Amino acid sequence: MNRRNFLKGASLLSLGALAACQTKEAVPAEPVINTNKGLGLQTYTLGPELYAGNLSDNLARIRKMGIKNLELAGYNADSHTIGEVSLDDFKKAAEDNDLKIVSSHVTPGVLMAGLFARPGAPAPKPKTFPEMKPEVIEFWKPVAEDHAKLGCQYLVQPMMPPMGVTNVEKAKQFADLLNASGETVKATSGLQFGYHNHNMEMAKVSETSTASVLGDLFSGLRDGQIIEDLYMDNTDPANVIFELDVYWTVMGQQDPVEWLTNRADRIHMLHIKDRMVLGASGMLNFKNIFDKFYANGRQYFFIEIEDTNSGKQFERLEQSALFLNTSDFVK
Amino acid sequence: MKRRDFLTRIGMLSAAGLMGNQTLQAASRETEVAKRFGLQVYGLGPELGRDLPAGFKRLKELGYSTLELAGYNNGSIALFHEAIDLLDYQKMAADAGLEVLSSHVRPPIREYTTDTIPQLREFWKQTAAGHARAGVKYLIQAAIPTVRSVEEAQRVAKAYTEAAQIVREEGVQWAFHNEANVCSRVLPGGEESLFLLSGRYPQGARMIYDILLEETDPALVQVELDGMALILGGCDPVTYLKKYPQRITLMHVKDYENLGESGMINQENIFRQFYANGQTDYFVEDENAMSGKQFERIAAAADYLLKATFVK
Repeated sequence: MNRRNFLKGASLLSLGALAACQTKEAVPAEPVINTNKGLGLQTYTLGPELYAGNLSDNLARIRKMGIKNLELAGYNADSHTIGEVSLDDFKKAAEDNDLKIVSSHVTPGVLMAGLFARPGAPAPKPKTFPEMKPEVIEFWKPVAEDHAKLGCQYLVQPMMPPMGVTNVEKAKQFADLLNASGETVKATSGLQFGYHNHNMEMAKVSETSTASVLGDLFSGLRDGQIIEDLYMDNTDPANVIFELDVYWTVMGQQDPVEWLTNRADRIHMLHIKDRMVLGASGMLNFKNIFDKFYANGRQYFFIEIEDTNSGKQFERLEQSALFLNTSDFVK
Repeated sequence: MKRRDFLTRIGMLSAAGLMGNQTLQAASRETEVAKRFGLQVYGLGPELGRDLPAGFKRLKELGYSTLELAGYNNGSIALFHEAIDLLDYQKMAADAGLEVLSSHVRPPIREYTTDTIPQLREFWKQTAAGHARAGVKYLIQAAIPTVRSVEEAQRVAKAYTEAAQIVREEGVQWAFHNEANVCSRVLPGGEESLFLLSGRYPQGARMIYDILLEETDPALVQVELDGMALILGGCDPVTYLKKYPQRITLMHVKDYENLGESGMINQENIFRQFYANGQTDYFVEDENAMSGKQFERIAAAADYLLKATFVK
């Protein structure tokens, strides 16, 4: 006798409480939605949707999902704006909606200068890291002041020049740049400087390599050193903290949990990211990641979803926030 | 509320008619024994070969039900141990209650050309016959041959379909297993496969895995999906499970290190999709074969599967 027939026979099918038990697999009770956790959002996620209509209304929508902390993107050092919005207006809109601006992603323009040539134009020769150091230091001073006004705690550099680090020496030079940036930011404003990784930092270099290579694939540089390790080992922990992007770590063939274990002292924040909507792919075990992160005594993480021009970012963010709000491993 | 608690509360747990009910068993510990999972024997390294009957018995006790072999050569299995006739090997496994379901083989040719493909045909015919004799259901190509261009990938795809046809004529199902390198891309007329860390692939670049899936005969060629290997290649296993529900009939279950402990594979989502596809057979794989502690690791993997609520 199958279950349904048995239950019919027992005249129990009409019991409302059984409705959830009808399928053969054990169906868990309705998940509990808790919107009172410490969710954070990297605002880059929303692309143009963040500014469509009214910023304050959009921030209200974000807050309603249970998001409390923001990490900004789109700061413009020339116009002193976030997106097109003045710092004061952005700050007020966030405060009005009970959102805390914790962090902001900013890249010194000189880092990428010469890497992206206009079509048809010869690419200018990029400066070396030591050559750009004075310019980078000067860049951060007003940026740090602006962000102090925003009430921000962290200023995070989100990337390095793609393919710009080809050997150990260049990795150390880049680390020196990070160190000097962190020192400047702290001295100017008291803010903490950090670095955010993609997959390229998880590639390996050696003293003599001419390109970085991912370690486990295709026998690469098995004895090389991982660029992210070189950054961590060659920066002062007081000057540079690390924001681990868990998805890009996986895309770099590395285990985020292993990094959180070995570098508990250096990784202060996370980017919580998946292939698209959080929790839908087969590529990340968020429970193990959050468990380790909290065990390390950390709290700030920011949701990030790519494909920012999709027009569906609010929808994807709502699904992602729901995943975190119904996952009991997220605090 | 848990089902078992609910049933207890409404006073139904004692109803005799319910005791045989599968739903109820799902909440009980007996079901753990009923879970059916397998092992790719390579994972035990030299530890299995020391005493096969004792090793098989131990595996059965740990909860394993099926085996996928490695090391087939000319009618025998030689894997960290002296060659044993496949029939003898299979009998020893059967005596311990283990079913030899599948076998990984590596064709002796790395370059598939018009000159070498006839040799491949002969290899598959003989290998399939050897496995058919022992009633092994699946024959798996463990790794892809050299692929440097779209044309080479297409030639390989054609050879895969042909292999699957030859193997099926012997009554065995052919499938291919992936390593991370199937996620690299190739170009028409290319001279090497590409795997980029950033930026865009040149126009016309195609992933080797996609070519092998799209350009083989779906009625003949099946797939054993290695999720961890795909992730190392930057691919999402769930995407492929959704796209090829009937072709991915087997899986390798593994993790970066210990099963269930890393942050870089979502076993639950993978299992759920595999079951949703109607598939059931998978093998634990552990690549640390030479650790000397493989039985402990394989036991821990079994423990993980027995405890995981999403594993049937």
